[in-house]
Amino acid sequence: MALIVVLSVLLILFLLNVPIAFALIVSTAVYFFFIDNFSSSILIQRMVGGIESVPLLAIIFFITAGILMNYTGITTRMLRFAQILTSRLPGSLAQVNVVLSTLMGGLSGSNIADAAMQSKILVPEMEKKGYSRSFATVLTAATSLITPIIPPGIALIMYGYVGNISIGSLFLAGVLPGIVLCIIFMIYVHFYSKKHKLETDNKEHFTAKDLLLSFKDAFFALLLPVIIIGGIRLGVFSATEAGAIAVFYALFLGLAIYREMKLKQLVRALVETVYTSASIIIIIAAGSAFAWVLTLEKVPQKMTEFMVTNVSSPILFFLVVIVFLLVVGMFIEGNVSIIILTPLFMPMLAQYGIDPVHFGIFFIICISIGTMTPPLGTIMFTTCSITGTKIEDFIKSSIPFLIILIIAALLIAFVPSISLWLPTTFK
Amino acid sequence: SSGTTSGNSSSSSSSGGDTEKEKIEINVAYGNQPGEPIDQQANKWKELAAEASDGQIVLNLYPSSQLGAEKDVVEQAKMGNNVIVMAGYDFLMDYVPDAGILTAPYLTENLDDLVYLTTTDWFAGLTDKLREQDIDIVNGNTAYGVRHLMTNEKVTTPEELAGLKIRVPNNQMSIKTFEALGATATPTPLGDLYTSLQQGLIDGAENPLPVLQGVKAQEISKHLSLTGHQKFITSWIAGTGFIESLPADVVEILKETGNDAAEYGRTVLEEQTDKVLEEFKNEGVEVHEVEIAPFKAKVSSVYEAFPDWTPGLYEEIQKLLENKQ
Amino acid sequence: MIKKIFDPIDDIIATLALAVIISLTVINVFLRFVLNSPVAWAEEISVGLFIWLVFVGMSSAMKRDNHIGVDYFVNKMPRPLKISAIIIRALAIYSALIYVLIYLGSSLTAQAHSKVTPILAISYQYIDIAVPIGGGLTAIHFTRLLIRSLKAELKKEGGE
Ligand code: NA
Ligand code: NA
Repeated sequence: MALIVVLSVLLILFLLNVPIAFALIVSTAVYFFFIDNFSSSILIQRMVGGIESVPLLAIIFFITAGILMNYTGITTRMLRFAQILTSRLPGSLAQVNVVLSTLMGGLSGSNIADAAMQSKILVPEMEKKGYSRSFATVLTAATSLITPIIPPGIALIMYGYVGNISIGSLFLAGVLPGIVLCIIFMIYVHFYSKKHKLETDNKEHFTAKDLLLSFKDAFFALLLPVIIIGGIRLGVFSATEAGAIAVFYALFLGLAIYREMKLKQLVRALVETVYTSASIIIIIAAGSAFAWVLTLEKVPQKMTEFMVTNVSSPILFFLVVIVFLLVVGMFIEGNVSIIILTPLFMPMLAQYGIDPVHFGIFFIICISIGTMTPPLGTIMFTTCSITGTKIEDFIKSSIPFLIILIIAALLIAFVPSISLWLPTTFK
Repeated sequence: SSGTTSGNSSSSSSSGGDTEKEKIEINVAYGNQPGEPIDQQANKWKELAAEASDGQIVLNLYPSSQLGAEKDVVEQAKMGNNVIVMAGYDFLMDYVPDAGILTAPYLTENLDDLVYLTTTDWFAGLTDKLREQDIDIVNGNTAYGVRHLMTNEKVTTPEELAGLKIRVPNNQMSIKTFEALGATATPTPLGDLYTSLQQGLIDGAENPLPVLQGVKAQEISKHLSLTGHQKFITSWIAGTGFIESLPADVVEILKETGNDAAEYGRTVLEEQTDKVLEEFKNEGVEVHEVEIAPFKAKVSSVYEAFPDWTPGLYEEIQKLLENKQ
Repeated sequence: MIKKIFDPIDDIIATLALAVIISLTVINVFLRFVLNSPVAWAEEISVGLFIWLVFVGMSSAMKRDNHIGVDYFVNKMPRPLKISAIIIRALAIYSALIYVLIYLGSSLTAQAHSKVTPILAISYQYIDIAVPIGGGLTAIHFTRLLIRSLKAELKKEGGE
């Protein structure tokens, strides 16, 4: 009974545009009115206790690093590199859109930043080359989903933190699925551009020298993911510390190598980090208070029991979960889903004998798909509002991409080695 | 649906007249994983308490720190909330400093001596002081195990331990003990232990054998030194306000069945420890018997490290232990 | 004058916390890797400052209207419904800020006197107090935001 009220209040507040953190706080507070077991100040204790952790520091570090990158001139260098890489392909600007998200994935931890940046830079250019605005927007939205899977990724950190799984292993596990997604999108873009005759006769040809020069420019930026993963694997630093190292590396690039950053920009970047990360982490705080209520109500056990009695095999389990997550993803913000659902899934994974590292990658892709769909698609809203695309047009154009993403999710579910090969090889 | 007292009228028993007592649900929280000796003990407690109260007492178990970290759930309990939580004496030291000596290195020869200490007047005094802090001990003699050292490299003397980064729980007693032994005490969450070992962020760990096996330390660290540096007992505590809100007979049953469950837990612990030692050997772990004296000599400084302790505390404990014989 | 000091206070506190956390973490990597002697309390301080960063940063985010929510449905509502939605939304946010963060946060802080951090034995009161402070700053900024948006709403009405 109390639980139903709590969930209803949460839903209503969601719909009334109450910020998600506050909606979670209010609905959890409502729960305490229904029980005489626990006093309400525990709500605050769970909020503070829920974020009092070293692994979460990685989130602010990688957000800082990502924002610093914007001030260092890395983005323009990466864009140039992506352009030269794809210049010979039909639909080259669309290919740039795919490749740039993959390259930036190694620097940035969140897909919203990536989607916003490319909506601003690439979509207008794509329109000039004859792509429809809605296609360009959807492509930007869909490819931005590569970013959180390629390490570093905030979603990976949060899943690892909540599920008590090695963040280092998750980082390694994300590399190949990220590349697989990139390749699938590139194949689709190839056929789409040929069919619609977009940029099929590229006049501008770059020489090997251009490629080399642009690679030299992008080299230091491309080195970052190597440093992060290498450093974690060699035991030089933990996944959290890797974030702090990334910040210093970005500073080093901006101040010493590219020399495009000034002290004033550094301060501005730190302030930007503060409000960007606070608005995410306050959701984690409120989410852990909410998850505490679910625990007290034994929701994870009940759901596990229900699953195990009704779903017999791991294959069926993955199918049920993908449907469930696609629906959840439509309504709940990705980070929030990770915080609330990860503890529910952990006991199930043990029952079905599924590797939590493998499941994590699948999980993150599935809930990311929901960010592209109505009613509550964060990436859909971000890209549409920047490019001025109508939601209806976005939805129409998004169908082939949703199919591609679902196929990719199933591929990752049923071919565990895509995610597990790297972590097991480099053990 | 989880009230303190949820009247259960659904039992339309055929026996007619007898009015069933209102159920009393009590939340029980601990950090250990399902299947570990502590979890088995908690399940036994649940079963015994239900039996002894004719089903009136229902213990809801929350393993794996589901309700929060030890410090947070203790805070919840202190505020008088409905929860019993397992807490180490090293942790209770923050509230009553003298409690910490029960976890001091090489205080006693074995677990039995520690359990004996919980029956003394000295311990009763400790209990009273805790009660002044709104903490009631429901069970004070749960055997957690004998802590040993597991490292990547062979360690049989304190000299070989020098400079090694050893993961310890995040509390003063463990940190000071390993610093005294010459190691670099590295407090990290137990959940990170495996990856930290794997990545070389730490060189070794320490805990009772079943816990070390629970986090798979033996997959990476192949040297087990039977240092036995701490014999470890823990307590189950609740807030004084909550205990006072319960009927006296219910509290009595909780304490009695808690004791029986602790005895059961002790048996489980010993069986599992033997079993784990065999399994470690089968997995290629080298087991080293070590000479205790040099380790014991090194840690004597730990007893000077807590200025808040009552003067003469160590001597008092030793006197109590002599009286035991 | 007061406004000039007050306005950026949340940014200043949270940014300082961030800078210290980053520096401490990097220094500790260096101490461990190069000198093999990390300081155990570095993480404890970092995590404590992190709580300050988040709860005070919550105000920085409110000031910039940066909290993640979904205005899709509210924007689709007819005007009278929309205004009542704005009111209910404001009530929900105020109750979270005033009752939960400020009131319950203060009472948790008051109770935390004997709860201490494991290594430095710092009282949790110094950590928990970030909650009511952050809640208070956020409430002030939310009020400003609310007044601004209501004024804009009314202006729209005048224009129609
Ligand atoms: Na893109
Ligand atoms: Na990434």
